Amino acid sequence: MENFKNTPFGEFLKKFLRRKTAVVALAFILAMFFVAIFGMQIAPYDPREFDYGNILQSPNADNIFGTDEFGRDIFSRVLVGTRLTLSVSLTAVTFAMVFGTILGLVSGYLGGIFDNIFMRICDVMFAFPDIILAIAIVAVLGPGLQNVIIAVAVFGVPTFARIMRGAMLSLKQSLYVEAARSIGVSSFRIIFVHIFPGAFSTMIVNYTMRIGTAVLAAASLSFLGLGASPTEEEWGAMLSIGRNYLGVAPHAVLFPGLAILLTVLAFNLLGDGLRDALDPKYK
Amino acid sequence: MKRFAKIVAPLMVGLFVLGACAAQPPAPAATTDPAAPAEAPAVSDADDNENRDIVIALNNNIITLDAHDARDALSNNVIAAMAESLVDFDHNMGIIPSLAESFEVSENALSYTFNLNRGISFHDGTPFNAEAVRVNVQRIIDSEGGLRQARTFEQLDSMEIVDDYTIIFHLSDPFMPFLERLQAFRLLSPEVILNDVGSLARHPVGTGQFIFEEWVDGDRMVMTRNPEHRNSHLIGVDSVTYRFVMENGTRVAMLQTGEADLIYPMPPEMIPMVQADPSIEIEVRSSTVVRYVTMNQNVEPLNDVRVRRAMNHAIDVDAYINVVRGGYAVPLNSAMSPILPFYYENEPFEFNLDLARQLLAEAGYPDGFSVTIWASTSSSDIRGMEFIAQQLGQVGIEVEVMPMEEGTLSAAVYQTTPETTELQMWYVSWSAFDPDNALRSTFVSYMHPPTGANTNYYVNLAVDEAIRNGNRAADFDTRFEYYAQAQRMIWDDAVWLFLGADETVMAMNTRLTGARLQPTGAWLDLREVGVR
Amino acid sequence: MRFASIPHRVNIMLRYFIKRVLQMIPLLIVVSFVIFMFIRMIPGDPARLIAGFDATYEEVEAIRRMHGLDDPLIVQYARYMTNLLSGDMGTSLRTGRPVAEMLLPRYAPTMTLAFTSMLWALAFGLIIGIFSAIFRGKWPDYMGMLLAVTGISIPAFWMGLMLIQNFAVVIPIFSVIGLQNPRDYVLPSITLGAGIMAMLARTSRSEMVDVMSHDYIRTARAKGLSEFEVITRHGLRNSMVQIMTIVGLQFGFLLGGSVIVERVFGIAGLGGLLVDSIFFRDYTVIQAQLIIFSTLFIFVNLAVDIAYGFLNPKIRYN
Repeated sequence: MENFKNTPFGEFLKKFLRRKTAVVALAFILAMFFVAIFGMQIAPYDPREFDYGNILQSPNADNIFGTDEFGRDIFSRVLVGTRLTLSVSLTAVTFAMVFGTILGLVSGYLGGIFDNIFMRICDVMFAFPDIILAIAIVAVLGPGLQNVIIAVAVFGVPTFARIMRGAMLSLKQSLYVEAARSIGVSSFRIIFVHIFPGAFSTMIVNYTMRIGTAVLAAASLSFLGLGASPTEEEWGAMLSIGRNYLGVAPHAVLFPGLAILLTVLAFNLLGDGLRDALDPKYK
Repeated sequence: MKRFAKIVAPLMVGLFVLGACAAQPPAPAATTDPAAPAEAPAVSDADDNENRDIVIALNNNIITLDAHDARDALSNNVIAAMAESLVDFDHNMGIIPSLAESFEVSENALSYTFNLNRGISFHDGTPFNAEAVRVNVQRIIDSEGGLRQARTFEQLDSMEIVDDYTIIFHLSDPFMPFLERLQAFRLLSPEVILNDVGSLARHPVGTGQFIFEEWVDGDRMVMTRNPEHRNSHLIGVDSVTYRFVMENGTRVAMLQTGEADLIYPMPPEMIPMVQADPSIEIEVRSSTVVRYVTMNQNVEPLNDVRVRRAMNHAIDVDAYINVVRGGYAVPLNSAMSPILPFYYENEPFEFNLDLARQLLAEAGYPDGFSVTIWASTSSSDIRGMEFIAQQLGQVGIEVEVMPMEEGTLSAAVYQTTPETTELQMWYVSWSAFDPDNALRSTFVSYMHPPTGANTNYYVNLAVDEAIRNGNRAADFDTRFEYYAQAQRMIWDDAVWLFLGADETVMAMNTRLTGARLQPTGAWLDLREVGVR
Repeated sequence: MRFASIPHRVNIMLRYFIKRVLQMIPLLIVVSFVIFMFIRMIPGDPARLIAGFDATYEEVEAIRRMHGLDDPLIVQYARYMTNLLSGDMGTSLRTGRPVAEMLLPRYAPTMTLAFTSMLWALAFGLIIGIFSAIFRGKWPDYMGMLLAVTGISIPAFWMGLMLIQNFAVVIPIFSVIGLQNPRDYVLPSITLGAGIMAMLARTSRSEMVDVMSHDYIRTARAKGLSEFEVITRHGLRNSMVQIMTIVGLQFGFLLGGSVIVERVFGIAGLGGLLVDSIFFRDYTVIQAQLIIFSTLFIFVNLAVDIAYGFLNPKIRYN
């Protein structure tokens, strides 16, 4: 046990557990994954079952979150929607990370003109309002959930690329990489054994926080009418449709809104906790 | 500032009244005689001026102010207060003279003679006369179809100026909807047309009761009362400011706080929010807008009339009206709106799921089938599609809902041929003021995209013939007979999923008087607007 | 080329500057070409969108001719560039108005809104960040961070509509739309700035934590400066570089967020126009906006490079 505490992971765990908000956030996220998997089984009603005689009911004993404009049970829709909402943002951010990492590594490793051009493109994408980029992408690719994922993924790429490139550049100069190179280790091996782990902590923090951003981005696209298909139980779409009933049936907005708020909050707090725990500056 | 004045003004008035009590009895309150000129010395000058400017919040940007080229309802809406037509609709959509003093249609329905009103001038001072009409029409003809109003003069053969105030239009072919079309043809100053035609898109110069003041794109458009107008005494406001506010909730909030005096349209689902407010009044009017689903009849199984009838039987139209339109629509029992003069009422498809299932089984689809529906990305269109998917789901038809951003949608619908189109079903609306516009481009066989809007790919030569005859028949009864024939055939073929005809809703502050919806329900009528 | 009367360093800088500006010309031509072609790749036909759903094929074709959209792309591009070089950005396909006339009035609302949002985000972000740093690991830290992060977690359109409902309708303190007087900026700025505020709170917290652990802070304390002085004079000042970098980076973000905020608060700004133009395939307006944006961007980068040169003599221009 004593030994474990002194391993890097033990150290990390000790620091992480000290941040209460992060621990709560992690618990919430784990619970959400559980709901994402078993949502259909937990939900009291079929989320698509409509009842025109029972529309926009306030929360009551039968429908604890009330009903929506088609008389569907909002509680069931929020539960079942967890899966779609999470999978959209997780897929998008994972894509962004994979592509960003590859581009950042290659760019940083090769250097020179390629690096220069690539970083200028990243600069432009960074400066460019991401929601407008997403709109342009959806306009080019057409409607549909997979294109929403692509749009959300694209504007995550430069962040990951920069982190990776930065790590690459600083490590390329470091002694141990130079040493490894001098004894003839292949470039590929250098990247994966020596450089990749160095950037790991920054990447994981950014990954966590990006998930929250992705949930919000998907919701914004729904607001502009470019999001998930409305029949799907997706929180952003529910919130965006529900806003038409803001003054008449506030619960139709409140619950999907809260679900989004708590989810994004949890991922952000977790990210903060991870950063503090992984950053050697903090003791 | 306005809000500040609103709070402070009553306080000041209160103080004034308290002070006055001890002294003389208060002077009689200033009357709100709309005819009183604005510059007349009033008792509470500042207060009066403040209140005679009204704000109208619209749900989108206007696109152009060129009366000859406006294609969207909102632009036309705004232009209507500044530019006038030769003829106009009365309250029942009958045609009455407007800039024309009277008109006359020849026996063979080929010549339309207009006697023009005298003493009218455009906002720039140019007199209105037969030559002005000619210049306007010539501009449209010269555009070779580029301007929206070109449709109005498709059948025009020549113009004949008899004298300064008499002009005759000679048609090449009888076309009865010509008068209805002229109602949308607004006259602009010939001076501007000849010398600075490009400015008309942003600075209209008409003869209307309001004069254009400024247009800040995306933000506001302001117009002021035209004191020279023959009916200027009917206008009781100094200026009208249109604000463009796309977000429904925001527009309603503006009405609630008094930032807007009138909002148009009022989203039906939000009406319960303002119903209890004594300072807000709601006006509802049947409109020319019909909502339906087109079905591509080149696609299996939508090519089978039994399937289309089954689908119509599977839709609960009353529920549609309540759930999707917030209760503000009437059932659609024909291919055009019930307020159009040549409307023919068909026997509705009974909402009967068993009958629907039976028809589907007869057609060979006892378990239903899968189909995709398209529509725009607006909240209410999305709601409509979802509703249709739910209803058809009850008889086993699995509907995939596909909202498309407008540019993509129009390309998918129109940049295709009957062979290449991927269109299956399209939830959409159509608005027409005359039976030709309502029926011809949507049902006639030579109007398949990309030529026209027959997105059903419907082919029925008898319908083509009936519409053609209706357009040429000179007297009302014969015309009606032909148009009714067409409407019956379209209904029996169940060409559309027939849903509802919209009721337009506007909501306004009770301080407004005389603002109403025009008989087509398509725009605001401000010809007698005033404030209390 | 040698400017004899000018000191050597400035001379080098000047030559560098001229070289960079000359380099920009081909760059801008390439950028404008890429933008021009990219926009036309978006599916959709502006002529059909102008004509409307009820127009016939002949009408659509007539409109296409009228706007010269039937010419080969390269001809259209040449015409566009010729006009652009003579200062004419063309007319909007959608409204028929000159593009410049549509763009100009939209700059002020977007820029002032971005500025006020940044201002309050900076003020609150710093306060929360500093407090969190001072009380690190205690409840004010948790509360502060929770508050800040909540700001970044609410979908902007929901937040905006809730603010309107509560602080303009139910409690009528602010007006619903418009940017006429300073008070009108409050609600949209809160909505737009919430995300940046969270980011700044976070950054300033971690920067402060970092800076405050340095030796010179200990020295300052030892000298007997009050804690307030230590924080403001030493801690904050040294954190400022990093914080300012974030501020600079986030202006793009503000412009993007403005799409939503403009729509909710009925503000006629640049973001809304760009989105409308994309939806309407209003090529000339999209082009103009993107080209202006790219030019600005290139110029800002140049300015930054030159500023670095002034500040850091080690950088060589070659």
